Amino acid sequence: MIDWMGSLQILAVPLLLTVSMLVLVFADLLLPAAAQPKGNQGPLSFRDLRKAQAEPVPGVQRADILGWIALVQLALCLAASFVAPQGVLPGGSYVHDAMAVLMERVLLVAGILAILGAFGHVRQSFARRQGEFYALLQCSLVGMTLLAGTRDLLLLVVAFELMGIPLYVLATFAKTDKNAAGDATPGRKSAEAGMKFYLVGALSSAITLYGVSLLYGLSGSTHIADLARIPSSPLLQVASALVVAGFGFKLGLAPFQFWIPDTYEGAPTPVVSFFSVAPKIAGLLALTQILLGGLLGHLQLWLPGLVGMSVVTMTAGNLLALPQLHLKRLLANSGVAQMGTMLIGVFAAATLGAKGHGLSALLFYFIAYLAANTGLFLVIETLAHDGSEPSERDLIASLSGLNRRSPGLALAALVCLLSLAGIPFAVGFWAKLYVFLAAWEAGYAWLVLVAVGVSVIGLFYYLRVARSMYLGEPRVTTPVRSPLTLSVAVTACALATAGLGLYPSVIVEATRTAAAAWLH
Amino acid sequence: MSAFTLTRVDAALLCCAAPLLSFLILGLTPALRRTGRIAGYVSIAFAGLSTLYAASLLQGRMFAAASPPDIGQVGWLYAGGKLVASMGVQVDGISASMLVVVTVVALCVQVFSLGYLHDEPPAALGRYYTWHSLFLFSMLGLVVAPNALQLFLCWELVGLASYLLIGFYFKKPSAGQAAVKAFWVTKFADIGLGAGLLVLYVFTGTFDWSPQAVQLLGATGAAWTAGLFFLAVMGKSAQFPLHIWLPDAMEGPTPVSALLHAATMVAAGVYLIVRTYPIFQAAPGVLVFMTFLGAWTALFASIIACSQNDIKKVLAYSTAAQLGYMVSALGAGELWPGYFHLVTHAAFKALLFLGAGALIHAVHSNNLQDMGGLWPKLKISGTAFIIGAMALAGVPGFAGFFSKDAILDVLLERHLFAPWIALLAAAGLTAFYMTRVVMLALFGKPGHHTEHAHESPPSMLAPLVLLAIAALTLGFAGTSLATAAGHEYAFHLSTSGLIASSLALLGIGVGWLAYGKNAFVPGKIPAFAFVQGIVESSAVDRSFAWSYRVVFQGVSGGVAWFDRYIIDGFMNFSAWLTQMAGERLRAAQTGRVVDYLYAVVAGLLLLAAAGFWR
Amino acid sequence: MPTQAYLLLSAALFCLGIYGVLTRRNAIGVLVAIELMANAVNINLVAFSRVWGSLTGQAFTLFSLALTVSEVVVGLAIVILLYRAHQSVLTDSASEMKG
Repeated sequence: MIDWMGSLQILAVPLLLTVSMLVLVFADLLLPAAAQPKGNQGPLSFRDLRKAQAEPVPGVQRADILGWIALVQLALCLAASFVAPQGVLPGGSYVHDAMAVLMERVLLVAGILAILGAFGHVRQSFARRQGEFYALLQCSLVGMTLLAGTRDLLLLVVAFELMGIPLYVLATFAKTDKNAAGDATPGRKSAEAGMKFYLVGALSSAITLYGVSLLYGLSGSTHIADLARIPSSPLLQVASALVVAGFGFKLGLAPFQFWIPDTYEGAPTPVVSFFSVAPKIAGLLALTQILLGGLLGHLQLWLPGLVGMSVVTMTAGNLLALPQLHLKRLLANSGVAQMGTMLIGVFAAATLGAKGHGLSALLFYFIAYLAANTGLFLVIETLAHDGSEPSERDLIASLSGLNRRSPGLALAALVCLLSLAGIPFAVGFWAKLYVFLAAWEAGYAWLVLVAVGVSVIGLFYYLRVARSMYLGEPRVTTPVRSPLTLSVAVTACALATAGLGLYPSVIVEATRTAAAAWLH
Repeated sequence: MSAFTLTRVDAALLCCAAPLLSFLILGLTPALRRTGRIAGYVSIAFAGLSTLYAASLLQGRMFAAASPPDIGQVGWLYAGGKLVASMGVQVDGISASMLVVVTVVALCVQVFSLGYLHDEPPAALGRYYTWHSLFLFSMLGLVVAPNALQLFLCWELVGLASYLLIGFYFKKPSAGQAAVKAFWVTKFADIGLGAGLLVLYVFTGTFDWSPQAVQLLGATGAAWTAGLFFLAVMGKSAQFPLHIWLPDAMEGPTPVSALLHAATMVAAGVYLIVRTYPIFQAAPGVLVFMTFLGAWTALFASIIACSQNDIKKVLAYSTAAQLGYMVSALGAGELWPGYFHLVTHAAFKALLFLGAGALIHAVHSNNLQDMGGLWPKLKISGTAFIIGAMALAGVPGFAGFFSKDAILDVLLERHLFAPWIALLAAAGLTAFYMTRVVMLALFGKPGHHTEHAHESPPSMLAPLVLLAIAALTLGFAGTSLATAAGHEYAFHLSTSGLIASSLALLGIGVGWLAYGKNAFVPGKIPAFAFVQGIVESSAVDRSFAWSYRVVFQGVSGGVAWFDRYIIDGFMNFSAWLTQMAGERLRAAQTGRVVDYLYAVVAGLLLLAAAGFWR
Repeated sequence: MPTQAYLLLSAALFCLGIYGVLTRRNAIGVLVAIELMANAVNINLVAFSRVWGSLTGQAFTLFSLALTVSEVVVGLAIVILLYRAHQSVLTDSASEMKG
C-alpha cells in the first residue's frame, strides 16, 4: 500500500509549483485583457500582433497582477519548503533531505529575485505575454527543484529537460527590438541568442540522453545508486564521458561554453539574471548526484577529464572576460570561470567524501554566487530600464560615473563585484576560501594554486568595472530611475552579499547540515 | 524580576547597536541627514541610549565583580569546518567601565558640537553626526570585542571614521593634509596589528587572548605578537616617534579632538594592550621597551608642550605625554594603574579640549596670544577649564592625582628609576605648562578679541559641567572601579605621590610667577631658554618633518621604485601576456553556431579520450 | 538477433546524427539530425529493456519521446523566429554576436 498523502507531502514544493504554473496560465486566459488594440476584431495576423506588441499597453493593473500572483505563489512555495516533511518517495526515486530542502529554497529565492527584477521589463517589452513569461519561469523551477532531490536517472532526465526547455523560450522572449526611430523590428539578437542556445542545448541533451541510456543498459536499473554495481568497462568510460559532456553545456564548462556570452547578450536581462545562476546550480547538483551518488567507485573514469575541464574552464573564462567591453558578455565569461572554480568543490567531495568539506563548500558557493551574480545582472537591468544613458545598452561605459548619479546603486554593484572577485569580507571571498581549503585538504594543492593564479585575472576586469563607476565621468547626471521592485531585488542581493560576507556562519551551518545529510 | 530583564550581554549588544542604528538611519535617509540639527538630535538620542545601557552594565558588573566575564558570542568565521573566529561581546569590569567612558565622552561631545558647530551648513552638520555615530559604533565594538580579530576590524573602522572626522573641514587644505598624514602614519602602524594577528593565528589557530592561547604562543610567539601589536599602539596612541600625526590632527573641529585625540581613539591603543595583556606579560622584553619609550614620550612631549602657542597643540602634546604615562605603567607589569589613568585622563582631557573649544569659540582663534583676560567673561567655562587643568597637573584631590600617583608608585616599586624620574619631571612640567595656558588664556592682559567674547550657550556648558564633576570625583571612585575590574586598589599617600604633588605645586608656582605675576621671563633663565630655544627654533618640528620625509617618503619612494620598475615591469608583462591570450582566445568565439557545435563534439571526444589515454 | 546489433545500429545512428549536426547549414536540417540522435537513444533504451527483461527501458523510451517532441516544438518556433528576424533559416545568417 503506497502512502499517497505522504508522497504528496514529500513532493510538496515541486507539486505546488506545478499547480502555480497552471493557475497562472488560466489566470492569464481568464483575467480580462485591459487593453485591446483599437478596432481589432477577429483573429490577428502576425503583422497585427507585432504592431500590437510594440504598442505600450495602458492597462497597468493587468500588467502587474500576474507578476504579483507569480510572486505570491513562489513565496507560498518557499513557505511550503519549511513545512514539507523530509523523506523518501516510495521506490526511492526522489529524496527530500536537508540538501534538497536547502537547494529548493535557494532556487526559489532565485526565482523570486528574477520576478522582482522582471516587473519593469515585462511591462515595457512584452506586457501581453506576461502570463506565459511567469509560467515558463515557474515551469523551469519545477524541474530545478526536482533535480535537487532526484535519485533516479529517469526523473533526472525529465527534470533536466523540464528545466531546460522553458529557458529556450525565455531566452527568445524579446521578439521585437526597437530601432533608432522607436519602431518595432523583429528581434535579431534575441532570435540569434535563442538559436545558439537551442542548437547547442539540443545537441547536448541528445548526448546526455545517449549517455544515460548506456548507463541504464549497463546497470539494468534507473536508480542512480545502482550505477555503483556496474563493472568498469570502456563502455562505461564512454557513457560517463557522454554524460559529463552533456552537463558541460548546461554548466558552461569549456569547450561547451561558447553559447553563453552570445546568449546572455541577446536574451532579456532579467531572464539572464535567472538563468545565469539557477540552472547552473541545479545542473551542478544533478551532475553531483550522478557522479558522487552513482559513479563514485569509478573515480578514475571521469575525474581526470573533469579536472582538466575545470582548469581549462577557469583559464578560458577569465581570459575571455578580460577584453570584454560589453557588461553582459563580461559577466557571462566570468560566470564560466566561477563554474570552473565550483567544480573544485566536487573534486574535494569526490576524494574525501563525508570526511572533507567539499560538498558544503560547494553549496555555500552556490548561495554566494546567487547573491552577487543576480545582483549585478539586475544592476545592468536597472540601467537599461532607465535608458537615459546615451551609450549603447549594457556596455561598461554605461556604468561610467554611476557613483555620482546613484551612489546607492553604485555601492550595490561594487559589493557584488568585490564578492565575485573574492575580496575579503564579501561573501564570495569565503566561498572561494572554503572551496580552496576543502580542495587543499583533499590533496588538490596544485589545482588550488592554479585557481588562485587565474582568479587574479578576475581582479583586473571586475575592478575595471568598479573604476569606471567611481572614477569615470557620468555622461548624464540625472539619477537612475528604477521600479521599486527592481530596487528591492538589487538591495536584497547587495545586502545578502555584504551581510553574509561579514557573517558567513549563518549559512555555513545550513550548508554543513545539508551536505552531511546528503553524504550521510 | 520583570519579563524584560536584560542580561548583561543583551545590554552590551544594545549599547553597540544604538549608534549603529543611528548611523544607518542618518546614512540611508539623506532628507533627514540634510536637516543638520535634527540629525544631531537623532544621533544624540541614540548616544544617550547607549550611555544608559553602558551605565547599567557597569553597575551590574560592580555587584558581580567576582563573577567571570559575561561573554556572548556567535560563531563567525569557519574555515575547513573549524571555527576560527567568533563575534560578540565580552563584558567584564574593564570593558564595562570603558564603555561608560566612551559613551559619556561621546555624548558630551555630541551635545557640545550642537553649539560649537551651529554656524555650519546643515548638510555638513548632518554628515558630521553621521560619522560620529559610525565612530561611536566602531569604538564600542572595539571595547567589547571578545577576540583580536573583531578588535582589529573595529580598530580599522575607528581609523576610517576618525579620518572622515579630522577631514571635516575638507575645504581647508591643511585639514585635508592632516587627515592624510594621520591616515598614513596610523596605517603604517596598523601593519603591526595585522601582522601580529597573523602571528597569533599561526601559533594558536585562533584570535583569542585566553591563557590557553598564550600558552600555545610560547615565549617567541608572545614576543612577536606583543612587539607587532605595540607598533600599532605606537601609531594609534601617539608614542614617540609615531606621535607626529597627533598635533597636525588638531586641524579637525575641536570637539572631534576631544573625542578622538583625548578620550577614545588614541586611548584605543592603550586599551589594546590592556585587553591583550596576558600576551604582553609573556613578552618581558617588549614590556621593558614600553616602560622606557612611554616615559621618554611623556618627558619629551611635556617639554615641547611648554612652548606651544596654539592651545590645542599644547593639549595634543600633553595627550601624547599622558598616553606615555599609561604605556610606561603597563610596561612596568601592572595593569590597573595604566588603565585607571586611561579612565581619569579621558574625563579631564575631554574636559580640557571642550573647555578649549569654548575659549576658541569665544575668540575665534586657537592662539594663546589672542586670548587673555577671558576669566571675567567666561566664568563657567573658565572654571571648568581650570578644574581640568588642575586634574591634569595632578593637584591632590583631583582625578589625575590619584592615577598618576598609582603609576609612579608602581614604577618605584619595580625599581624602574629612570622612567620614574622622567615621569616625575614630566609631572612638574605638566603643572607648569598648564598654569601657563591658564594664565595666558584666562588672566593677564586682555587679547584683542577678548572684549567681544561671551559665554557659550547651555548646550556647550552642560557637557563641561558634567565632565568637570567627573574630573573632580573620579579619583575617589578608583577603589570601586578597581573592584569591578577585579583588581585591588586603595589610595595611600606614597613617597612618589608626595614628590609628584610637591613637584606639581612647584610647577604651578613657577608658572604663576612667570606668567601670572610676570616676576621673571622664562626665556631669560639659561636652562629654560636653551630648551625653549631648541623648541622654538623649530628644530624639533623640522627634525620630525625630516623624519617623516625620510622615513615615510623615503621608504615609500624606495617601494615605489621597486614597484614601478620591478613589480610593474613584471605585472605589465604578465598583463600584456594575459590580454594577448584573451584577445587570441576571443577569435575562437566566432559567432557561428556551427563552430560551437564542433567545439561540443570535440570536447566530448577529448573527455572520452582522457579516460582511455590514462 | 543479438543485442549488439541493436547497439551498433543505435551507435551508427548517433554518429550519423552528429555528422548531420556538424555539416548541415540549415537550422531545420540540424534539428532533423538531432532527431536522429534522439532516436538512437530510443533504440538503445528498447534494446536494453529486452536485455534486462524489464519494462523500465520502454517506459523510459516513452518519456524520451515526449521530451524530444517538446524540445523540437520549441526548436521549430525558434527557427520561425530566426526566419522572421533574418529572412533565412541558415544558421550562419545569425552570427552578429561574437568575440
